[in-house]
Amino acid sequence: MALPRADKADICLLLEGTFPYVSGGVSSWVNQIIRGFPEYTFACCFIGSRPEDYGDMKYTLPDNVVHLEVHYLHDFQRGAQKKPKKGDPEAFHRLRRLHELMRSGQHSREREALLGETLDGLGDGCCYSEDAFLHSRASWDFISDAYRKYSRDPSFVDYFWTIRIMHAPLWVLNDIASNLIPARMYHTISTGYAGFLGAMLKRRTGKPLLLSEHGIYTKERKIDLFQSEWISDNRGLVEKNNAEMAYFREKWVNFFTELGRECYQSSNRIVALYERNRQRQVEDGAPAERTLNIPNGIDLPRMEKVRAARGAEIPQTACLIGRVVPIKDVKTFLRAMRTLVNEIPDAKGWIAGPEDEDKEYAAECRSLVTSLGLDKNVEFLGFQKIDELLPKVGVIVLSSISEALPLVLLEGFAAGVPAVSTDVGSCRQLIEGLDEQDRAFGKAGSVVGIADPEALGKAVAHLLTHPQAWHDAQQAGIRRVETLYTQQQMFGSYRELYQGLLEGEN
Amino acid sequence: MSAILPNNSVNCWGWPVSSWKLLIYAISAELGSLLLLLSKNSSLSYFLLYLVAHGLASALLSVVAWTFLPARFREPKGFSLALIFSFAFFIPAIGLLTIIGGIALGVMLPALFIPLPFSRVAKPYFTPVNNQQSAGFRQIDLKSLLTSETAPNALRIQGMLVLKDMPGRITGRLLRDSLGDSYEDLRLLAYGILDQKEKEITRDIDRVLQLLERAKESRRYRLARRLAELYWELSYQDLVRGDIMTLTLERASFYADMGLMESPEDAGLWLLRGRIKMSQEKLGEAQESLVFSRRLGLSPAQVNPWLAEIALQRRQLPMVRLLMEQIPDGSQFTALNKSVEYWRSYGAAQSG
Repeated sequence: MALPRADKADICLLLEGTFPYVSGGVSSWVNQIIRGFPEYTFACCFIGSRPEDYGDMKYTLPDNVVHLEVHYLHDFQRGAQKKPKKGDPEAFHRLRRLHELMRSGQHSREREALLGETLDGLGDGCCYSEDAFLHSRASWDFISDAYRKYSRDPSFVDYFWTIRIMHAPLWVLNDIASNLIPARMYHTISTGYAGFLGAMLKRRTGKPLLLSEHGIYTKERKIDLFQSEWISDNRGLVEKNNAEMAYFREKWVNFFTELGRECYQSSNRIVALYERNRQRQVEDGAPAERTLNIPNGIDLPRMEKVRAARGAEIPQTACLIGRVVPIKDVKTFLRAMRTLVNEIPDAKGWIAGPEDEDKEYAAECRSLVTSLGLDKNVEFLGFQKIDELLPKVGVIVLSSISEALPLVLLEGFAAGVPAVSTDVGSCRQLIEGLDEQDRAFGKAGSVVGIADPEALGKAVAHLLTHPQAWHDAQQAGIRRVETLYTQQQMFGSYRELYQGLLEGEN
Repeated sequence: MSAILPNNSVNCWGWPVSSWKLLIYAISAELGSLLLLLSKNSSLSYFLLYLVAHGLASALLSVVAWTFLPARFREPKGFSLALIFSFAFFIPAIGLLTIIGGIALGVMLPALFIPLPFSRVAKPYFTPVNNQQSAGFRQIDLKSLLTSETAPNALRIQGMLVLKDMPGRITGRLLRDSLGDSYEDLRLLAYGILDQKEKEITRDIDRVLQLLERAKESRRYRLARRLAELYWELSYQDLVRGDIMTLTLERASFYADMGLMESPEDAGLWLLRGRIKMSQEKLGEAQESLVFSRRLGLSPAQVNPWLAEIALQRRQLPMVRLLMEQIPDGSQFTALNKSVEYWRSYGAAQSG
């Protein structure tokens, strides 16, 4: 299918690893926002890792998406001819200064100016072109000096390639920024590469940049990096200080932190989903006066229909709705199912979400089901339509180790399904309430600690075996969503933001 | 050849087409020059013309000859070409033969000065790796640091990183407690560490299970023993809890039994089975297994502490004393010495 093309749009969405090629909470939210503002035309700029990591579009593009372009950061077939060159030592000297300033973690005019100069110099033929970075003597000197000066890891080879691979996407982003169609404002849905692209675009065009962050990108990258096994640590026994993170791991963390900081600094407004995340953004370098909270909202009329489709019985089914990836900690859900099945032998456990994102993890989960003896109770359903699924679910389970403000909980509440969740992100706020008025609605389920399958299983079993508690939780959930988390409220807040920024632009 | 002259097409003899052409030009030029030389006209201009024609022929011939030189004679290019050219120019006709002879000699004789692809470098020296001078918690108890609400988060993260390299048996509880910490990064790091440890063992289990499926009779015992150990490790390192722990211990016990069916003489496996049964709170079976392992030759120092623990749980205090007394002095379990001493003195007090 040919992608829609246009030569301009009102709002350009910068989407990293999400809508329309990946399904999930954030993607649904993007879809919801686009459809909520038919008066604006949208351009979508999708940034992915490699073409083979994504399949077909998971969403039908709304009519007001007039332009969609797709880019991959790690598609290394750009066929640049390799020729050694001298490079501009003076320029790399300034780059060294910029890195020193970044290392100090402080913001200054000098840093701002140097960064601007660096970003302007990324184009072909300029002093920081990709070619100059990859093949110039000046760049080699810069990298090897930095290795001698800072590296805590003895392997130069690993250091050298880490630096090259880490920075390579910047030139792809630069190309994207040079060729993107004009828009009246940019709206990025995360920091990271997309956020950095937003910062580049703002610098070039002067158009306003809006950042809506669901999870905290830097934090999620940190989780990946803490758990990743591909980052090597070459320190010998004597050199090793156990209190330090492997150096390359730290380098990656710092890299993403810097990308995030730059995006925060460039954004006109910064939206978090709830207060704790807003504070975290400020800690990570977002100017507090530009931040605000806009919680997710639910399309109530649609969910009321789903609620009406429920039978009188409480289905003995616990359902985890989410992608099968480590951050959702599906394994804890499966282990909790063992506890649940011990108490209710014919209870069912469903996992409704795509498995293609991390195939290895999905395979581990499936083998865990067998080794827990749960083959008869647990089913992997793949991607499901929420309207058809929710009437058959007794309790929504969220076993994630990190979340923001999960849409599935809200949708579940609106559809009359209570939830048991780990104590992450705003889950406690959603289930138990935030302030006094909110808490007065009652508890819409229970909250347990992360990676505690037994507590999780027991909590689910309690709800399923105590109809009164279940009905109370259902009512609490419905009341809370209807009062605090409606789509109208969310669209209202975004309408104000969009209008404000677009008028400011004029 | 085509690799060196990538733009030349190669004919059926493997010669580049342009080399053929060059050779023909060279021979034509040389014939031309010979005709000039043999002509009756002996004026200076004829001689100069001869030199030009002969020079051209020699140059063309040099280029052709050069392309056929073995690679190591081709460098440095300028000198190599100049040498062939001089032979061809100054010794007409025989010069070329001389070059061929020279090359043949060069190929056949062992080289005196082979350029080795090595060069002398400075002696390696020890590069001290940069250590950040901020690990100030060394004097503090790690546990109180991690559970402290006032310690700076960065320091607590460093503390958590230390736990990463410590045995799971010791750190399990602390890591689990940290899962409920208020600082998210710490929580996630603790989770990552626990998850990593669990994953390593589970992967081993999956691998061994696959091996067991298609293993020959003779290998079954080793694999079953390994599985019993791995499942036990999950529980011993405190990586599983509650229902999953029950399940894990059942598996451990199952494979221990399987191993013992194949090889009932394995005293170590009897000991492992005893400890598994103890964790399952099946004290009778545990005692039975442990006694077996003693009979099969394990020393009192290895087995008696566990037997004594069973006796203690059954409140058979004289039995505990007896078992502890059987443990020889200075056994390798230094942590055990204190309690051996205690029970001995208890015995003395009883009899006194």
